Amino acid sequence: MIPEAARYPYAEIDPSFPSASALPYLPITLERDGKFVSVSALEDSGAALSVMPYDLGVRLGAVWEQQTVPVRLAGNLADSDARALVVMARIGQFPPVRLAFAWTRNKHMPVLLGQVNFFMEFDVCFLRSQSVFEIRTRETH
Amino acid sequence: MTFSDILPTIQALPRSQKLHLIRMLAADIAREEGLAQDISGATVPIWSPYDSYEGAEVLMRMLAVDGDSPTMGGAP
Repeated sequence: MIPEAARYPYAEIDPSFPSASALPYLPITLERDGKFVSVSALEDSGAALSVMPYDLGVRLGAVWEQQTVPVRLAGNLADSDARALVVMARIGQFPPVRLAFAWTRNKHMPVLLGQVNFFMEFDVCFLRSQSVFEIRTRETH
Repeated sequence: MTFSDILPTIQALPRSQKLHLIRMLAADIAREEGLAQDISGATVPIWSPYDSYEGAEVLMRMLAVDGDSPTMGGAP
């Protein structure tokens, strides 16, 4: 049965600042060519697109030279080459979805879930005052 | 060496190294003036590619084509 919605707690990134450092990190399992990797990904509604650090793409079996579609990034990532990579993503009990990432050469950044296409697949409600967020698939409403 | 001597060299630096230089100089000044805590505590990396609309359009086109394409990474 597909859940109508799922609720997740904010993750406290820095124990020294538990409230100030709380961010909406979502447990997500990515799959590509039979390889599965579970990570915590930052739901970043200000990001135009989703971004995957280099090491994660490698763990999913992606080969840089075989991903031939370049993606231009801005901000702190403007100096990092990036290429498009589409993988399957499973979140909780929701049906798996295809998510497209800008796979970057940068190794020192979190997985970002941005507007394209995470927020096109899932509706998200941030309840920051309660330190929780809810997600639901677009099919359920 | 004067400021005008080094300015062309600074201007030729890549964007990331210019930012690094700005932060380093700001930290140096703050340290000299006893403000190191204030500035170092305010340095937070922001990864959001908030205005990468062209890149976002590329990803949308990728999703629209057949998942068996070699550039799609084997996703169904």
